[in-house]
Amino acid sequence: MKLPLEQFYDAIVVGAGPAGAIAAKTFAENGFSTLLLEKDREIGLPVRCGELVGKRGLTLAINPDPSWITHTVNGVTFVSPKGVRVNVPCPEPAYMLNRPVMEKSIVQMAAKYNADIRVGTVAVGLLRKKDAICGVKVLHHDMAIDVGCRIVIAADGIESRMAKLAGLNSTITDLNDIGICAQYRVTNVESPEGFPELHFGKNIVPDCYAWMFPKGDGTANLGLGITAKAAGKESPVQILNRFMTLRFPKAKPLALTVGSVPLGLYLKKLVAGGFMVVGDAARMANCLDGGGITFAMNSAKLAASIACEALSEGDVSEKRLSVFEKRWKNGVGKQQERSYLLKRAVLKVNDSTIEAAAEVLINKDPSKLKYIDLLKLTVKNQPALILEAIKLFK
Amino acid sequence: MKKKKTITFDIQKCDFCGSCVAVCKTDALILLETSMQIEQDQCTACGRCVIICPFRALTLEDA
Repeated sequence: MKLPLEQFYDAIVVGAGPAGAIAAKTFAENGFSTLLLEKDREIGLPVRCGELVGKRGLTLAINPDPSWITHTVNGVTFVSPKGVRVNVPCPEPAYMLNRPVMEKSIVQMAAKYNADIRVGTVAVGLLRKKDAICGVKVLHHDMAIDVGCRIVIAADGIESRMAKLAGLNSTITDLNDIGICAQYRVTNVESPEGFPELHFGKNIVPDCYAWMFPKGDGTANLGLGITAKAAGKESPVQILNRFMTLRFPKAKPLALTVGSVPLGLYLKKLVAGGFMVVGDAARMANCLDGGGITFAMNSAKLAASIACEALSEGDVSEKRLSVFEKRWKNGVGKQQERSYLLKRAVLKVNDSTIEAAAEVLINKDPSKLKYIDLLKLTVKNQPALILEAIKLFK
Repeated sequence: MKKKKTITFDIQKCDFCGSCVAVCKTDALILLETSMQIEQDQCTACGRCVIICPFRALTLEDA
């Protein structure tokens, strides 16, 4: 019997998260034979994500189906170390997602155009011919199979090995450039505003921030991120337990997940012959808030669109694919660079500065508050960064 | 020179999040579907993965 894997594909996409799903859909709807590989046994699970996403970034990548969105968010509540609540309208609407539903839905679109999909299938190696990648070595159940292709898109997330195997240096070398996260899905949480909440203060979380994102169905994502420096002293799960007891004593956990987000710069090299890397695997994210969904989806869409052109032309050389690298650097990549500068400044802000900022902001007309006001107050001793902040949020 | 320390892995504690893989400088960690392979020959026992692991599934022990 011939296994479906024993074929040759135009494109193999490694990882069926938001990036991989979009890439597979793009290839398949353009008529290219596509194989989508997912290590986990179910697409969309586990949810290692706060699931909050900007509407603009999401709709740039794909027209979202209403079933993916649990509710629309129009404001955010910032909570100071002492518990002062400042409500700020969102600069643009945001969505709370149901990621498992979204990811399965996009993968179904790829399937409709005949993309092959394998779950519980791990990419463990890359096949190479001269200077180019020409396939993937996969493990499925107890079978090891070589699958040939013309191009590989690595969307294998924070744990990516594909980029390393393709010769791109994807190791996060500076441990300050990774945020270690833990998150409960909880029930029995209430907030007066119903907005996503961001909590700051060393008594809550040693650095970065903690969050409570209501899902609109009586549950919420309650989580936090810390740097490696803080994680060396105490595990994120211990800190999360304390945060939950202190700020949400009635909360009851339904699920616990952990994971990490890239908080540094994206990879200098995003392509090799027959190979492209996108999303978390390429270390693409907003370093200020750790959000990576829109970076993942838009990088995947751009990479796959360029790959489709390259496949049609019969040229998947590193030079041809480097168009992706250039376009990313001159587009969303700039946004990440600015967020990186800001993150470094914000991490230096102490609790008394945050408390003072909250005291000022609480007395202002909430409908006129903007994110930039918060940043101005918190990075006020670093004026050059205010300019960067303006560019980031304009 | 022989390594003085070695990395040990507790599968019961692991959530397979892959954080350790992201910071490994020698590509010694390979995350599979529900297990992890440690290439001890490549591992330099630098301890970066130990710091990162949210569930403390990796530990540095005397070889």
